[in-house]
Amino acid sequence: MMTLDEPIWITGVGAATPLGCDLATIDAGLLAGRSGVGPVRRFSTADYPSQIAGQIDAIPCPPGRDPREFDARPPLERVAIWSVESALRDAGCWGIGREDRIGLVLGLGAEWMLLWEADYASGGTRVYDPEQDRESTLERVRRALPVAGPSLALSAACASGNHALEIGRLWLRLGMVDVCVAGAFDMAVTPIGLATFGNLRALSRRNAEPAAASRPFDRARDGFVLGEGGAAFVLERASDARRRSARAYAEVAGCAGTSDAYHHVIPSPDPAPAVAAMRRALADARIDPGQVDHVNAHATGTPVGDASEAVVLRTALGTSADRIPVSSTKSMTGHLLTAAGAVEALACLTALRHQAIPPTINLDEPDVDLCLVANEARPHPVRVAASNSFGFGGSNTCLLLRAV
Amino acid sequence: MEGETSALVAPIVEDGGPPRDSGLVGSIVGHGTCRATREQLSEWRKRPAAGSERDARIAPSLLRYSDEQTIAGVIASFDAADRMGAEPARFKDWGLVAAPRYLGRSNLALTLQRFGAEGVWGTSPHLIPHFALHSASGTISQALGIQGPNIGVGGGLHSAAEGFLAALSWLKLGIVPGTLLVLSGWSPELRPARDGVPASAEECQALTLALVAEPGEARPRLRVATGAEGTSIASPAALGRLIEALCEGQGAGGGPIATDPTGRLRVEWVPAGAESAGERS
Repeated sequence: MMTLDEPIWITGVGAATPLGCDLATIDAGLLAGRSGVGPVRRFSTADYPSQIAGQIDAIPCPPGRDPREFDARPPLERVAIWSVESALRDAGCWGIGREDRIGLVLGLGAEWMLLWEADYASGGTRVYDPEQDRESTLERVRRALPVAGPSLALSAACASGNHALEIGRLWLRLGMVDVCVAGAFDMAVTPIGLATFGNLRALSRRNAEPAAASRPFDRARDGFVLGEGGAAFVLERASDARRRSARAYAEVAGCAGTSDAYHHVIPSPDPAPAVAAMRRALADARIDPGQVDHVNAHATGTPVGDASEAVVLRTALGTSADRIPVSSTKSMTGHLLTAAGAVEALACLTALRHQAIPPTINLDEPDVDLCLVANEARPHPVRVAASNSFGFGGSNTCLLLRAV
Repeated sequence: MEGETSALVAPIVEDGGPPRDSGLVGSIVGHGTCRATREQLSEWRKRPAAGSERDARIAPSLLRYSDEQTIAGVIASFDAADRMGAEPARFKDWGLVAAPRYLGRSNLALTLQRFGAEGVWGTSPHLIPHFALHSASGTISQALGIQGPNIGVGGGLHSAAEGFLAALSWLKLGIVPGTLLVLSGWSPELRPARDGVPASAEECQALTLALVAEPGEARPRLRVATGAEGTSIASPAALGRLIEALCEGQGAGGGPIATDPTGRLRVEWVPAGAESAGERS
């Protein structure tokens, strides 16, 4: 009998990030403190205030697919198909049948903007003609894969990935599905994407030193760096995974979300809503702050955001904050927006698997009072890792992953 | 776009039989609506305090850059609170799911033209905060002071069905005492002209449903399904029909479809293939 307390495990992972498109490469990059940020290469950036980003050189075509057919798909669709298929293969769930028992929850924040922009740039008229928009990215991804269970696209901006994992976990606990793939994706490094964030004055202009531009928690920060990609996770009930002797990366132990109800883009000066998200996630996992071994912070590299998260961590974790190692892996990947939470959940799995904390690189002069892991990975016993993700629209989320 | 088959709402079901447990069920305990032209919403955007006392609680700057669907969603949500005789503060701990359809189309049409003419500097910095999938839910949560979780869902043709699925999932999880589900879109579907102005007279529609977990004695039932044939919530006309059903009554037994405590409307999500045609009106 299934219950709402049934442990849910991550049994497969797939990803495409500026640090690589397979788990081993991404792990190695995160633990080596390698930056995936470089000059934007796909279009001219001469007029842009920020000319750098964390980019994917080439989205791999999954094995057995026609590369020409795959490459004709929009980038957001390709990165999602690559990641979801890789995760299913990694979990040993590829080609198992029972497709109507496999669910899909994807964070997709700006799919229509991306589709309309790309179409317009190639001379299309899609933005003017809704008849051309009959099928969503979620539906196309679902049709391209052996997935026919419940499916859902959602966005809480940069907090999307954590919400996706929470809903996937619920569907499994309810018995609505036997396998659920949850993840989040964004491919915002486009001419309009770079322009709109640049004009929001949110991006770093350290164009001459791309690898040093993303500087969460560092006094010399000057904004965040755009990134692109995403990650997908295969979730299964622990009882099912045990039965088939599946490898488990971690348990999705806790998750919670709240809203600031304060401002579209600026974090609330009142830390209470974000603190509530962390406390509810801890309660959901039935652990206290002292049992958290690592926090992957949302910290994007903006002065207001970094400082407010430091207050949130201090308040939610209490004195435990003095000893819990905190990192922002956005220093290496850039900020993947809708996909940020998913990729940072992946970084937490890296910490759990390697018993080492990925560092915050470019951290020369910290200006927050936290136990930061600066510039080099730190060996550390990690049984529980927390990942904070906050987003435009006032969303606050916290995810807790526990070793199995 | 009538007759879509992959995401459906069978609007009103009165089969009289016991509900089949699909896992995800809830009751609609209140609703609010907004149906307005682009011009009407533009006026409301400029002077939100001119409409009624409740509007005075909205900061003048809140909706300055918002998409019309977001504005309609705010109006519908306040309307739901008014119909329920509740202050927005009642929803403080609720969740909020907004399921717009093609949010931001007209604005992006303008943006693309301006980018072509003026380059980087002509690009609005408000695109992501106000015209992405999360934008409507974020703004509505701010307008109503909702501090439970907020997410945007769907975004395309089948947005409404995805919205029901997300809202009922949250209720089942028990993390919120209730969820406001805000469905919105244009009817007919918005077709921006080259100058960004719609080529025909569209109506922006928004429906806010106040959902709670306990099904109670609710009848009739609203069923949300995937993968079967029937009346499609995916079509632009369907949202209008749902609004009419809630406001004016469209049940097989006649009379208004109440969403107050005396006649709650049960809503349930139905897995693909589990629905029988005989249960739909």
